[in-house]
Amino acid sequence: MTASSGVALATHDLRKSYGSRVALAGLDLVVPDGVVFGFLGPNGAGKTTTMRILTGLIHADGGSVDMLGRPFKRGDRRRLFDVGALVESPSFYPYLSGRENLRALAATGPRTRPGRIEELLELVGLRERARDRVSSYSLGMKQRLGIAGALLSEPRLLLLDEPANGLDPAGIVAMRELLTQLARNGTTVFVSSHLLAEVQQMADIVGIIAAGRLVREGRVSDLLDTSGVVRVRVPTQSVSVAVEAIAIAFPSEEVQPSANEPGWLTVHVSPERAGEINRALVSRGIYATRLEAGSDLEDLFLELTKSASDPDGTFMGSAGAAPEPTETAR
Amino acid sequence: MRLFIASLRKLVRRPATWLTFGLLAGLLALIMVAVATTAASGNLPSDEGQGGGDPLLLITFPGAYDQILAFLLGLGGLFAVLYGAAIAGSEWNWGTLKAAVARGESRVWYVLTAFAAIAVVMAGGLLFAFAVAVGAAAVGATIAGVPLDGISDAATLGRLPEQMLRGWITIVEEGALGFAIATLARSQLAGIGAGIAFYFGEAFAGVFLPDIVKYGPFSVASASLGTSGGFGGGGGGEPAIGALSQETAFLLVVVWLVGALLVAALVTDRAEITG
Repeated sequence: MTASSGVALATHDLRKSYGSRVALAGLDLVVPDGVVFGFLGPNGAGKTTTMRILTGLIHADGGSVDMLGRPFKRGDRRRLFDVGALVESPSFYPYLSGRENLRALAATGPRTRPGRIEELLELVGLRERARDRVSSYSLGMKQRLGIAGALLSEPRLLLLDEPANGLDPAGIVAMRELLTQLARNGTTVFVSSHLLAEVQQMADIVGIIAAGRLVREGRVSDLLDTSGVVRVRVPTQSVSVAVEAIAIAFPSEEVQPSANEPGWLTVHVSPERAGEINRALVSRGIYATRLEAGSDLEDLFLELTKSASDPDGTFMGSAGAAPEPTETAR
Repeated sequence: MRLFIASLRKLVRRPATWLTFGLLAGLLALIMVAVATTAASGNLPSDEGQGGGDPLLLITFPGAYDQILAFLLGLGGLFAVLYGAAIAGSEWNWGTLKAAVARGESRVWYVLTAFAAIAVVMAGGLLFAFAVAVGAAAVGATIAGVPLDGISDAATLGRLPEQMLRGWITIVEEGALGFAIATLARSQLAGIGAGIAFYFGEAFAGVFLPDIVKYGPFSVASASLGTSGGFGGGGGGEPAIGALSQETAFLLVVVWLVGALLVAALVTDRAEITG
């Protein structure tokens, strides 16, 4: 693979086990240059394990990683000079200020351009609090400082693990804008998250991982178009009649009322048949107030991860992905 | 160099640094002042027939220099273990090692640089504590009415730099042990706990297995200084029959120091950083 191949990051048959528990069972990923890539998966699916391998914190048992056009192997730490990362929770010296922490971080790895720290403090909105100790920061502020730390070396590839953790709505919007702006400027952004709506708004491409394997990868729009789902909104008092009407019109398809959104039904049929659903409802005197072709990412995610899991619907079995170990309990 | 300076800056800003060396200096000063005020009030017990040494020697110069140094390096050994363990352990607990490794920093270089900064801070801390203790001894001598004539004794002052240097290396060795233990434990608390257990465990084991324990890291530190163990290290009392010579002990101090750093570096290099 070469730098001109247009691929920023690729993994091939990546494997990792913690004892008898399999965390990654042959992960194949391809992340093109200059996109925001959403890396989705339920807890324990292997997202953080993947992040740790990509940042050299742990080593894969098998498989390979290509990063920015070159193989990334054990001990090849200089590959990371072009990579910025925020893995799990942001890590700082609590007794140092935000600025001092960035200075301490800048003393590691590649050299940082003069003035870069001040630029980043401004960018993440921490300039006013830069002199305060990190121990006095909120979770959201620490997260923003962590993002600033990841951007220190002006990376070509940015790896962020749950970057929206602890951010308030305004912070999430600002982060989304920042990441899409970075991608427009050529940085590849790889975001691991469980916030599906957030990823749907931000990512160009998503990869969905379950039980240590990639179960789907593609452009968000393509995935949603091909998922064969129509969402219908009807008056809440008519839901049961509507379900019956659709079930009669589409006897072999599944109709599900939404548990979270009263009045919404999800019908697993091709979006081209949305008109037939409407006709079936009208024939029973029900008028749909909304009709949407395609599913949202949540539906797709649940469908894919459910089918990839074990029969009990968990991911923790010995053949499935392991819960990712942390040091916090030690 | 920038990593070393950054490591040094982190340690200087760290409350644990000031707490460790402040506590060490404070305890020594307290002992000096306590001896002096007790002597001034005429309540100091006589040592005749008890073999415990005259407490006034602590504040009587030039002998006070040696007494202070012995106290400092004895008590300082324990503080060094705790300090080394606290610094190494916190890198794992706070995830700051993880952040550095994810930026492509060399794990081995990061660990060795962090320890080099610790060694420099320990030198400063020892000098600071020594200066405070000497000042307190001088004040104590004045309170107790002990003459200060010997404070500028040229022969004693001439020996001090070498004694300090040797003492610093033993303290650094003890700090390296705490550092290595916390690295193995990957935890600040576990490292400190294990460090304390090791420190006192060696002294305790010295009672039963003196021929083996005399090669232990804290015993060789004491032996290299020609002291009998100071605070907890290497057992108390007079040097045992068959004890190591000062030079052999000093060589072993260096061996323990290098060994501890190798362990810390190798463990960090091979570790799966999952915190």
